[in-house]
Amino acid sequence: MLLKLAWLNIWRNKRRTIITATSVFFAVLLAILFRSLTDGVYDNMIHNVVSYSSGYLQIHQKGYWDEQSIDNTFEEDDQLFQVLLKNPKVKHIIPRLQTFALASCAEKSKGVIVLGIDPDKEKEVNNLHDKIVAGDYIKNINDNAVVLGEGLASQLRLKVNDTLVLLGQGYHASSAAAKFRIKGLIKLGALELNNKLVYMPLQQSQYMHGAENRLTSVSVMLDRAANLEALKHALQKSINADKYEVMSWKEMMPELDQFIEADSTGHYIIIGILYFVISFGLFGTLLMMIFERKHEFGILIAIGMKKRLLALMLLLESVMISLLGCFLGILGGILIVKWLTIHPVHFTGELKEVYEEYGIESIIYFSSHEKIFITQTLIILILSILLAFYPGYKVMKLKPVEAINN
Amino acid sequence: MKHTQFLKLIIGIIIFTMPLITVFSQQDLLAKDIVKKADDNIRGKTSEADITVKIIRPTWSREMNMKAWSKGDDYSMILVTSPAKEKGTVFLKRIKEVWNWIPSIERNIKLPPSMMSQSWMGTDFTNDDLVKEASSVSDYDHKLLGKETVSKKDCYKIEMIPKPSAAIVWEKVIVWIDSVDFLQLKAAFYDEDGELVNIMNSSEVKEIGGRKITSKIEMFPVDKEGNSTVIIYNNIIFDIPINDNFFTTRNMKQLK
Repeated sequence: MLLKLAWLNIWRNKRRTIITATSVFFAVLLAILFRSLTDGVYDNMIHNVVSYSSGYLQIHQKGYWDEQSIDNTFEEDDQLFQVLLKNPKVKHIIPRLQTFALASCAEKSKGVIVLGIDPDKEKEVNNLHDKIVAGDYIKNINDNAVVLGEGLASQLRLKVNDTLVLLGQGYHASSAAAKFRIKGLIKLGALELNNKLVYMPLQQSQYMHGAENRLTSVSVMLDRAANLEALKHALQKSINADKYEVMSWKEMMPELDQFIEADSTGHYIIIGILYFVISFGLFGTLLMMIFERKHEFGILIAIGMKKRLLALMLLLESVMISLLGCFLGILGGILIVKWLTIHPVHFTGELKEVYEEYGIESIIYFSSHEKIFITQTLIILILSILLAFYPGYKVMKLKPVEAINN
Repeated sequence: MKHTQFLKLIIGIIIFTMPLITVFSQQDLLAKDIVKKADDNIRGKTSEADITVKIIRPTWSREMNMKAWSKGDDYSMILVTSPAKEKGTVFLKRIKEVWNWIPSIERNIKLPPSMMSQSWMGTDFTNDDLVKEASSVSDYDHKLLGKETVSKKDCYKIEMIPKPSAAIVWEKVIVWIDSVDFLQLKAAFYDEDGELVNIMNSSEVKEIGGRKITSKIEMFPVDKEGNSTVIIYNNIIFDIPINDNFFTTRNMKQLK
């Protein structure tokens, strides 16, 4: 009875209902788009950084992270690879041998990170071959050549086909010294990597370090960034915990995680202001509604309608309008985010160059994670319901005689 | 009258204390002599040695073979003969310079002074220990602390404190030198905070190349349990003539 009354009431003044519903609709839509945009940008940034450096998850020999020496490597283990690949959330596994060495040529020398890689795997997972700016990409695992960061090459004044000398510490105190032909130069986004990284076929690196068949880490790429923690726990359980350690990029690169956290605090403030503005818009329409219907309320109370029931009816009206707005908002949000994920926004001009300088793709991605839709909608819904208590409160204090005479 | 008595007393005191002073300075001189004698015993005018170096770690160990030549304090050369991967690597000390020839990259690297205190080829010895850039005789002040028994042998215990001018990382080094054969049997190295860092034990006294030497030297870093490095002298020939031209960067590349 009350529901029906509320339903009929909201359609009595269509224009007012539509205005209120529209403001809820825009509130939900804006909140969803904003969160989706920031989350999408973060995910993309993480993906960019993580895929060239650590991977989302890394598996090491236990104790490697605390003492990153070549003596803490582990033997390539098919059984481990199989266990990892069996998990449906694991998209790729990338074996790597990461060491530090002194790179030199003629008069100059510099400390570098030497990354022994499986060239085909890296090509498949991070399109490493697309980042080559001069020369060629490493052909296969036995290729006796290296690819180095463009920044490093210019600091050492090296060109394609020059010889790079690497000097480092080998496995079990052996010496690691070798010469390599520079096959190509690569432009990596992160400046630090661009100035420090030398890519080498895994087998060459293992031979140079006297560490045949040994790896420092297996990087794991996963299907969705949101599955990070769940997958970490799952992998920890499925592999030999006495021998291996599983670490997420958040543990390995806390600075990136902290940057995102700090940055998103700023976004929380902006979205807080958004909620505030939305609330006042809703409040305005509610005030107007009370003012317009004062006479009606007075008469209803005068003919015996209980104040409590009247307040409840007003609450129901508000909830219905908010639900309507939210529903449309979600629908609109889904459509826009879907459209934008299919046709992502590409930057052009200067902004594009700035982004590429930092090695982040000049594309704005929108995250279509369901969590965003649910939380943003719930927040707006709760806000509008809280606001709807105000007309109820007004009704409870209403003096029928004054209201009728108004 | 009183005056002459006072003078006599002064002279008497001087005469009485004189021997004491000379005894003290003699003792310092003695400490230096002991160290010098021990140093000469293992060094000789020239030497040519076959050595084996074992690196011992809690989970693994590794063995290398080398040939070493030396001439006086100024020249020494070490050639790695096995394992195959490091074969042909040469270290040369020429007066105050240290060079490292690495055949696999065809580079001759001059080690900067800053690298002298770093590990030599992954062992517990430093580059400085290897080339003995610092002289244990002229770069330290010596003081005899007394006598102690090390591996059932009567030894002089001598404290050596580096002279301010010497490039030595230790605050002090205490050595135990056998009082019969004048061979250094033990050495303890202390860092600038006075903490014991390394202990070096020398044992297995053998007569090789016409001299008595300690044929086994073990280095134990105190803070790394289970780690040590052992050097074994398989053979050593003393006082064969070696030309100064032998110790050149050019010769490093053709050494066999």
